[in-house]
Amino acid sequence: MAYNSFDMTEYFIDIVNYKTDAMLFTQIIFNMKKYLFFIPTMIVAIISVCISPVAGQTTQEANISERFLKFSLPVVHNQVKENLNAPLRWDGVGSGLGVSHMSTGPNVIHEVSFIMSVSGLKNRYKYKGYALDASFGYTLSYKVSSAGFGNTIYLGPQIRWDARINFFRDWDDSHIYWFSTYEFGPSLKWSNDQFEKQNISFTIQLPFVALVSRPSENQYIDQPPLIKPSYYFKSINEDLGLVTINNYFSFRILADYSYQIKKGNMIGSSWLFDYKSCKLPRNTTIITNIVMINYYKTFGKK
Amino acid sequence: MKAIKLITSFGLIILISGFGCVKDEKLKTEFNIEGVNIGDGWQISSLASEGFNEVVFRAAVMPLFDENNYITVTSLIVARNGKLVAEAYMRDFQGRLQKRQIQSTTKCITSLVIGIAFEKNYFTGLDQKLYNIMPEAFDEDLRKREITLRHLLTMNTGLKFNNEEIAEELFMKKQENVNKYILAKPLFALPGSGFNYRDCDPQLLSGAIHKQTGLPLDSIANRYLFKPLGITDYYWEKNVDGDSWASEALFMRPRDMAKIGQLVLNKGSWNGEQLISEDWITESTSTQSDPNVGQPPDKKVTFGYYWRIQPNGVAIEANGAGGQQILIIPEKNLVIVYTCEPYVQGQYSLATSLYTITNAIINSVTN
Repeated sequence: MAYNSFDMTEYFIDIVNYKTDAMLFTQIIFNMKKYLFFIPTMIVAIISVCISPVAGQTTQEANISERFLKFSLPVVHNQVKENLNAPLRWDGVGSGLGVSHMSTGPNVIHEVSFIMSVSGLKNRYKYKGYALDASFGYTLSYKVSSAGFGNTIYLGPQIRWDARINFFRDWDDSHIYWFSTYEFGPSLKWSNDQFEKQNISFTIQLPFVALVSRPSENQYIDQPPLIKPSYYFKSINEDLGLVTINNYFSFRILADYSYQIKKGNMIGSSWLFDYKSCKLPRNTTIITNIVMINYYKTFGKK
Repeated sequence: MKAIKLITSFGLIILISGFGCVKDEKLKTEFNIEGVNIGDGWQISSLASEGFNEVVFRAAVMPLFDENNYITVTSLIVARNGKLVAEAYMRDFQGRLQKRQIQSTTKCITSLVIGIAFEKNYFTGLDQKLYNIMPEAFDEDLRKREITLRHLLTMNTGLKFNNEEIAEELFMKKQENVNKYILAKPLFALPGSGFNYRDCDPQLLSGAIHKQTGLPLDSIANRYLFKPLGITDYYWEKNVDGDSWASEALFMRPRDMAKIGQLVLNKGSWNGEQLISEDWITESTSTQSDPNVGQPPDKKVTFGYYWRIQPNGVAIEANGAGGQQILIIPEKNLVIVYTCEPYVQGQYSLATSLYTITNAIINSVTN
């Protein structure tokens, strides 16, 4: 018996709401103009950057010797495995922008940093997706040891907000898979400035307490409003919950090198390695490698 | 010299920055098509006992397990002679107990529930006017008041509404008063003048049954259809008004989808109990709308009450976006269910794959 063929276009007749990427992004940008939901986040970021040197002045007035404004151009390599979607690794590279402000003294460093990037993703079947990353953090580092030869060890608390939105376009064009965290924990930094005009540092950050937001196991809402920017801001803070080390683990390593090219101006490069793994509601692992080219504008008493 | 060492060390760190690799895993499970008795009402049998050539059957479904061959199919259920003879789940974490988004396959279940509603006399008849059920949802266009339940079941209302709109305007914006919203759309044709596949007509039926009975569609489905079939684990999303989304947004287990197929194949009977009248099954799975007028009968696909009918009635289908399917092949006493990745777009090759696999499964029936 022949099972009669059917019209393939007809077969997909009820696929709803398909949009090309260009259309989707155009609509998102259009809606951003309409809602401007990103403004509060930007304001918080700007205020934080401004507060940092003020805090440095009030608490460490006599000690603050230099302030740095750092602009970074990152090249990002992302690896994602999101078992809510499929146990496949998605790889991709991307770029973005980073800004940070540092105020340093002999015994203390305040640092506020913001980095944002967009990456393409691809799985082994050559299906494509995107990753949008934003990270905003504040680190307070106190000098705990000077080991000679310009070596200094710093230790202090760090607080960080990371938001990652994965959109596996070819695999699931109806949902976003986010992984956002609010973390608090210690930051350990080794710095060496024995050579004039040069500095190298190495930082490890390991959160002790974390709040995590993830999509639910069953994404029952069939057609979330992907074209509305407010949906993204809402989603990444949905059902935030405290997690334990059994469910969540992350760490971050930052290596940084800078060279003074002339007074008040420095250039450098950094490498940032960020590992995040969460078992809720299903296993998810994200590894982000970022290599950055940095430009520093320095201000201060030195 | 020390500066050079420092710079070299830093360079090495940069070079090894590629360390840390997320392990890529197998997507598909090992080949396994054995049916398992989980006490959900399905009687399990073997391929050979139910008249399949096992070798041909296994060869037919083998591509679904091929790790190098990406096919979006996530599960396959085959039942013959009222018994489950094969079940396969190709994703390790999407096993037999997981509910799937069955997309527009939901429409056909809505059709069955509406049949039950007629039997229970919730409606006076197919030609009952929707206006008599929900007059408050209508605007001043008198022509719309001619819309009947039959028009809704045959997607013949003439309302100008496409699926993209219903997705964006209803799902995304969380529209209130959905029935009124749909009925406010202008007419592109008079009610009853032409088939037009879309989601708004079944949705009005959901609103109508809620209005008539005080119960949403899913409650009636649960009482008169799902419970007798032993379907306990399902999710049916509702809109802001409390009406079930009648065109999509039902989540079911694949084995439960196969029960729906078997029920239709058995003309409304399940384990000896007549859940839906034979007349309704016959009527709803016979041609009621013909969107392919002029095509030769052996190539013409038609529609019943949301059921899709292959040329010459060779197969009755409930189809959903992405490849969700309940296939009923009466001549072979056969039910085949596929679930697929529900949201993967652009998988036109899937239709070819499913066509090939389905044909091979049918051809593996030896008697």
